[in-house]
Amino acid sequence: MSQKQVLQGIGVGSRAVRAEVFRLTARQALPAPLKSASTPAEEAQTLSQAISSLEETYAKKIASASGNLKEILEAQSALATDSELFESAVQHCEGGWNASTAIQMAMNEFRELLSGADGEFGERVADLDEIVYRLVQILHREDSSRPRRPFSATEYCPGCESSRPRNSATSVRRIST
Amino acid sequence: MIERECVITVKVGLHARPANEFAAVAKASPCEVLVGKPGQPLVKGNSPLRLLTLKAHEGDTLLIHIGTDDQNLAEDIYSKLVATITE
Repeated sequence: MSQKQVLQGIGVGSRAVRAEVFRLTARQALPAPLKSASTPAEEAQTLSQAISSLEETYAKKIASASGNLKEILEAQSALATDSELFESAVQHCEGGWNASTAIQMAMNEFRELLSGADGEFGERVADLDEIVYRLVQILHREDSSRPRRPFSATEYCPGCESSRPRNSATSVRRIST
Repeated sequence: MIERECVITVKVGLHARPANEFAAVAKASPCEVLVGKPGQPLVKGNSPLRLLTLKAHEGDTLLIHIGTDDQNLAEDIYSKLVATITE
């Protein structure tokens, strides 16, 4: 007798795979909203630098990528550096919020517009979450390394809360009992 | 200024990657590009985030507005924009 547990997420492909699933370490929660003691201009500058830093990170990955992955990274970089996002965040900075809170609020506006959308448009919410998470990591100077993966002598499917296309998967785990 | 409708024929619709390509053409354009579904508010064509929020699928019609009096330039930009969302 066997049990089958379907884990749903955003996979990089539509083909089914069967393997042991290891859950990656859950990521830290985003910081709570916080007002800033700095000026709005200073917060906007801080945010601008964080976006530039993330853009550089994407550029390095894009340079070594090819095919679909390259296009995905280019699209994510374009979303992260969208001037509409920055301008919206600056407005929140002018409302007294720090850069980290401002970018979360700004992205949330776009997130809400996409939430509830069907199919791949709804799945893009995960991309927006990923971008905000990375920016907040940079703003808080946290370790932005990839989630730790377990050592395994056999092939496995990584599964995690993160919906980064490269890191998440739709997997089937079959457990013999 | 020209304003025309076109039908999206790329299978994924105005998804992240086509939106990125569309926005890149709009950014490179010297004039304002607005886009949206007919009868709905238009958004800035140079913003991939705004383009995504249109939630435009294959088969949907888009209204593209190109803000220039130079008809030749407008035609050139329009054809480049349409190339990003048609196959």
